Amino acid sequence: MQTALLPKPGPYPLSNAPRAALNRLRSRQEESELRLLLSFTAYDSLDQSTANRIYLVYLILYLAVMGLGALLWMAQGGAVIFSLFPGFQAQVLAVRLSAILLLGMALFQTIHALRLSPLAFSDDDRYQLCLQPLPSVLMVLRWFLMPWLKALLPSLPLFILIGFVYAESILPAGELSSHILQYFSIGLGLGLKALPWQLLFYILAWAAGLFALQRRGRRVSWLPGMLLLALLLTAGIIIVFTPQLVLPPSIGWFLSTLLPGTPFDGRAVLALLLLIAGSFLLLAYLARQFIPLRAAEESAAETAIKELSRMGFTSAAASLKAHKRLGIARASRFSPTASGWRAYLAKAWLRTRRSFGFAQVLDLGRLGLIALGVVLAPSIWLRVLAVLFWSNALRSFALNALRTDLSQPHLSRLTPVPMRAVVLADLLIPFGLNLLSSLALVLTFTFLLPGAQTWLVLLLPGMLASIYLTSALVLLIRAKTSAVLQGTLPDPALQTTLLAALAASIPLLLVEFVPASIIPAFLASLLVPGLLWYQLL
Amino acid sequence: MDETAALSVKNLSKAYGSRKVLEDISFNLEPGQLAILRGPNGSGKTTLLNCISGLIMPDEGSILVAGHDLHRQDQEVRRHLVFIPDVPRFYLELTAYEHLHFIAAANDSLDGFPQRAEQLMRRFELWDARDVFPHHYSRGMRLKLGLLMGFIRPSSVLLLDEPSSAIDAAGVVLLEEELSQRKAAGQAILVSSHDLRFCQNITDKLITLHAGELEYANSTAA
Repeated sequence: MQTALLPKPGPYPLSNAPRAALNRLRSRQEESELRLLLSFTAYDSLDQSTANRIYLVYLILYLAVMGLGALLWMAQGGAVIFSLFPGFQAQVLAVRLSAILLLGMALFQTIHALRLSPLAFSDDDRYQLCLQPLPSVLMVLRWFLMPWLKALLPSLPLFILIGFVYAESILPAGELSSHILQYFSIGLGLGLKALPWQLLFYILAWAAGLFALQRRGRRVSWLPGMLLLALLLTAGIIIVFTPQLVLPPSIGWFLSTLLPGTPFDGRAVLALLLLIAGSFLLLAYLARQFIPLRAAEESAAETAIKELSRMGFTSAAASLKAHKRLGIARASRFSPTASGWRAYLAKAWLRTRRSFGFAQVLDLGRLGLIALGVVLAPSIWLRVLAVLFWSNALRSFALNALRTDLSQPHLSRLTPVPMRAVVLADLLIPFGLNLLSSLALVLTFTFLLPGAQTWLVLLLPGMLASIYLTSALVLLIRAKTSAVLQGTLPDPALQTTLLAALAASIPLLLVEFVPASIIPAFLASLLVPGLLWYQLL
Repeated sequence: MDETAALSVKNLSKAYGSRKVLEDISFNLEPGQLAILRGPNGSGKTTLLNCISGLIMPDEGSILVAGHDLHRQDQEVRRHLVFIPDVPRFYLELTAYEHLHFIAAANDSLDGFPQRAEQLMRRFELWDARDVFPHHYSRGMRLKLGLLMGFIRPSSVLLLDEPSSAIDAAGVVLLEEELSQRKAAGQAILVSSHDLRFCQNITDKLITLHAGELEYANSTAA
């Protein structure tokens, strides 16, 4: 009886059971992935009724027809672009485009696989699957299918589009209906021809990724990947900069597998298939050393972020992203002298420094462009509409720090700093950044554009302050500590947007409807935030 | 109401909808007293601590902290009262040391901060991980950091919710020592704990809640 508690002696695996278990689990995961994709089209995969099955057929037909229609429409535009290069044969252009697309995708996939394990595991996988003694080669090969299909899905239509563009260029205009079969065979044929190439590069990217994963932290870990990247880049440069694609016959026949509108060259296809088989063997060889836990360690956070974003839990995803971005530790940078309410300001500054990235620069640019819209809009109602957009867009940028403090009542109650000071400290830095970037953008454009009402810039600081303070006020009124303790901080989006836009539009309306009221409007732009601040006190 | 008491709770009641969680709770805690709050799960211990700390508004009753009314003199109360929940929360972008620095700075008690912070962090074995973000800490380390955030600033009343729940045995001994010193310095301490042995040698008062009602609040022999 006791031996049943111990592992069986002998080589592992002893039976097909582990393989079957692995297959079953992966099939379930693939199935649930598919279910989720279908759920975006309102298809209920659990509904077994005939009506639901008919809906699925309709859905497939609808998506295929709409997709094909879109490709045909885009192909007409593509043919016009092809005609802008009279020195080039349409076939050469199509091959070049296909090759650049293939190499670009291969570059992206290789870099991605080198950075992060190509096999992505969730936290559940980490504690359930990765701790089991399952055959690693089978695991790698079984896990390959779904990511490859997901990478293929967006790229295949692009190759078909290039094929359609080529067909548009060579078939006589106006007679496409009589050449419809040829048209489709060229387009779909190019998609089919690109498929093995895409597969080959995808396997090589995974192989490079597995090699890098096994040797993470060692000097040579990126070597094969770097070689692959260098090869891809060289090929890309040759393809882009060679005036005519005249390749030596020794390799020309092989690359003809990407030529649209030609029959398949048996020799070339065979060679390509042999290459794919060889790269699969390489992948399987590298998979022998694959350690699932190491992959899970790298990919669990990334998988969680993807899952949360897909489910719409954006704040949870953002917080996980921040964990990743911040890393494990940082040297202390807290201002040594700030005390009292200025400690909150120092915290907000540290927070901004540590969370500021490209996304925030884009955010500031976007908000500045909307501010520009407020100034340049030709009529008052368009201006008010722009203010409405502005206050809606500003909401999350403006209130981010304040929301964090409000969602941590245990921490704020550890300090005797009054709420109005916390609000001031939390709004000051985003307000400053917002104001500077918006003014820079608005001033640059209004001076470049003759006839723009430059003086409206004077109203911007006050309007911006009105939006910030109204948004803060609404949030403070709606945030009930008891709800916050349960983890719920409200986001009164509509209320905030409308009230903030109303407060910020007052000076604009004054200018429009009261004659010679530039100075009163300017004063009103200051008075409104002043009153709001008084309300906060 | 005893205005000389460090903490005075009088006729406190709280209900969530029709469900009464606390009913007519009254007790006092004098400076230098340590009281243990006991009761089965769901008896209202955390709700009581949340009410005293001002996180939840009670339906009836009043609370005085160092003579200040909780609902009229909120800022004064926050100067005197520290509440450390069983699951402390932290700011995402601040390291452990920066959390202590922030709390000390916001309470205007930066005098000798580096020395105090180092001493406390070394004592509770967090010094080597001072520059680590708390979300990378283990549960026990997070709880220790939460405690230190309460200890780094001056206060008259300390409220602790299940402070020994995730801390190792050596940490619990240290915590008892720390509480003993604070008690001797005149701080009033109210600890909610299921651990019957926790602080048993320094407890002055045992407050027991049962189904939201105070069963007894008596002084125990130290």
